[in-house]
Amino acid sequence: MTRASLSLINDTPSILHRYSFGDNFDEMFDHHANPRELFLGVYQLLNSLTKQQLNIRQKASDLSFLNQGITFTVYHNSESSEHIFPYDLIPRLIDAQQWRILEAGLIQRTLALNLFLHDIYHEAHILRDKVIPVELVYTCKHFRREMIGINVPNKQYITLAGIDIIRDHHGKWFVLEDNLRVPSGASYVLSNREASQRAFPSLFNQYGIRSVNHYPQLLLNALKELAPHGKQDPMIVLLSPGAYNSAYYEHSFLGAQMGVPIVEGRDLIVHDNHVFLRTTQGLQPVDVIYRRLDDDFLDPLIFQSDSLLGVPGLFNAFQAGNVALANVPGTGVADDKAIYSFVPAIIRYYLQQEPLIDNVTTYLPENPEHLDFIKENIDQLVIKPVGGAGGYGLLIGSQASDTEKQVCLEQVIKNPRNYIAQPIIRLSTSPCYIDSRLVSRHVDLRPFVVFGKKPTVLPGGLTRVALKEGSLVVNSSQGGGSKDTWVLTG
Amino acid sequence: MLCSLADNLFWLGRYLKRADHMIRLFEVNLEIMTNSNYHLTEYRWWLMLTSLGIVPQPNKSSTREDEIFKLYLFDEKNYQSALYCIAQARMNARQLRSIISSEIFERINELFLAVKSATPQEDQDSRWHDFFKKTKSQLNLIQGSTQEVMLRDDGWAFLQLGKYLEHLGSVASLLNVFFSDYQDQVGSQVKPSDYIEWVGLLKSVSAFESYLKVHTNNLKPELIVDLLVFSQVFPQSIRYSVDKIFSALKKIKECSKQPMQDQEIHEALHGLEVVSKSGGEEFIHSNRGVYFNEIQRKCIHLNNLIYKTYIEFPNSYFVN
Repeated sequence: MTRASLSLINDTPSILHRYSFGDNFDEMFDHHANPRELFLGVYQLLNSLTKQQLNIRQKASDLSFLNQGITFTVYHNSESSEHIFPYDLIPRLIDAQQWRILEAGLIQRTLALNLFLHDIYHEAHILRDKVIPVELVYTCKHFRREMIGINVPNKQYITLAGIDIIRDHHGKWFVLEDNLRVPSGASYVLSNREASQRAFPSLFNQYGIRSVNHYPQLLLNALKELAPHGKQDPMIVLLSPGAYNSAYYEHSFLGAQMGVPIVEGRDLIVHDNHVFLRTTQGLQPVDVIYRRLDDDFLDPLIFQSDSLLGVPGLFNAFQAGNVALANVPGTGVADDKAIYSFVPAIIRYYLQQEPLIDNVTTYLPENPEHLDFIKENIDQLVIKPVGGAGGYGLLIGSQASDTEKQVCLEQVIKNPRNYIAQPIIRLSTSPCYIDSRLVSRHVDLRPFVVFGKKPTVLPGGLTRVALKEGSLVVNSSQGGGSKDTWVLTG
Repeated sequence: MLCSLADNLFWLGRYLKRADHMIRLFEVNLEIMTNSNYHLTEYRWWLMLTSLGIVPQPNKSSTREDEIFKLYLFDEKNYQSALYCIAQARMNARQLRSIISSEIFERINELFLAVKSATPQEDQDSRWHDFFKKTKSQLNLIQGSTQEVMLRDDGWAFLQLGKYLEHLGSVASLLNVFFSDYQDQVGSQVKPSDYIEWVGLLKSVSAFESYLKVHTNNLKPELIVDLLVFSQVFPQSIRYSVDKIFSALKKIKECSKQPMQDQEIHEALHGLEVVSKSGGEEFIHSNRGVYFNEIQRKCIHLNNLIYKTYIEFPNSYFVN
């Protein structure tokens, strides 16, 4: 594989001059540094623009994000600070044919995980048939014993899934992880689209790009489907931890766009196993809660007793079938990173199908052979905590010091259930406009699956960018940004 | 309307009006003090801060202009500063995104970002002028946006209630401080030496140009009182605020199953109505201080009554 650099093929001092991506798989250029056919329109536009013109567009986007309050909060020690969610101008493109495969794979995965959740909280056939080790499920932090035997509306545990997918250095797609508890990021998909439409209106005329603007309606319709007793015009609310939560922008945006009240625990009250809103007009019954709180904080009477964010009695009202929760408590067991390694088996078990998108090879330290492998090959592995999120707590073997690796291994040996290991995958790169230069940065993709009557995938999703040169960590809390993802019609 | 959103709207109205009032007072005071004949700088600041309900702390603030500006305009952690009010308005607006439009939120956010990043230099007086002008313009834009796009429902009523209750208390406090200092002027045309102070008073509530339109440049205390206290058509007057508070309460009552009792409203506003029927001349010879103090007391009482009835949801109330 040759080290590709556009400086070899491009004599004009355009913005693309000197763009290089090493031996990574680049979304826009092939290994001969030729623009992929799909990207020709973007390539030609970038070639015609000066730095000044791009800077104006970037500044306008940044200012728009700032004024709209598109920010997130980073907590460090006891201090918190508000940051603009970094947005990169250059879109990522996915052609229709490729998207069809991804879409089918994501739907397949969501359907299987939903069946898995129903099964483990009822008959647990999959455990009896020893497809998954019993102890792996029952030792999962997010397995909720309280959910055993509870029938949820339409047997639907997952209303919204955010499934992270990546491409390796050959361009092959893999699922990296499933997010089924309170997946976030959809609001940024919409904001990014608005920004890219302003920055490159001509490209929207040139390409047929599938819309993402209907997402709030899609989600609202899916939530309506959950209404207890088939109520026609249910009262739906979005339950947020409050304005100081790092994802509050997303909560307020989605609540406003769906046209449903954004509430906190203090706005709700449970009486006689029914949930009510405290309003100036008295108590108003609530039918469906799109909750953006982790299970632990939902109800202090059942889960974490010192939580002030939740609503006392909420779980009982849910159990009585008087209110629906999306997603259902206990879905987290299906996005545990150790369970993840069994998702292909889960798909085969429930759907009798082969997975359409592969998993990344995963090693479970609880397995002695895997542990030996991890010890011997930690330099080539990423070690992740199974319940982690936001990129916190992971160790990339190739970038860690001997001491860090040693400490990490000790923790893994001490508590093997809490970790997994995966080979370090060089994520694909995409051109990003940073500090007035076009540079390659690693990216992943978080598409969103909305499960109403049937699962629907929002075309595209959130392409997350590791803004730091060479970094493989795309999480916003770790210095990541995002860019718009265009799924083309065709 | 969620109780917590009613609370957010009420305080959004209050904080925006409070910030607006502070910005105007600072601008007017700076204008008066930059007048070459003015020698009472420290006293002037003391008067202004007193009218804002601020008791200057000797060890924390001085009467130096830059210190005052820093502490009462730009110190986000000082709950008596304009920036604090704007930050609080923004925080309330963030929680109201399902109620207010994104346009309104963006204007409030822009205001916050502009004031937070404003660093007018001591040696560049013109920059203060620019800062006040721009900030007032942004505040006006917010008021205009809310006026244009918000539904006229109980949410609007809570916003108006907060706005006019704040304004009522602020104007009453300003007039109270002002009149306690200018008793000799009552009944006659203002002295040339005090002309600038009276103009300052009018400008503090954006009333100078309206006054000229109604009474020409013949400044008389009773005519000024007529405009600032009794006018039914001037939006910054006490009378106008009282009328708006009545309308807002009426609207809230219409929408609520737990309305505030008529009697309670009348009790809360009793006194304001009585005085608003008298005229400027009669008023100017009355015990004005008592009246202004009473308005301020009523404002606090009404605030508590609104909280008790609508915001702090009565725990005893349940649906049958």
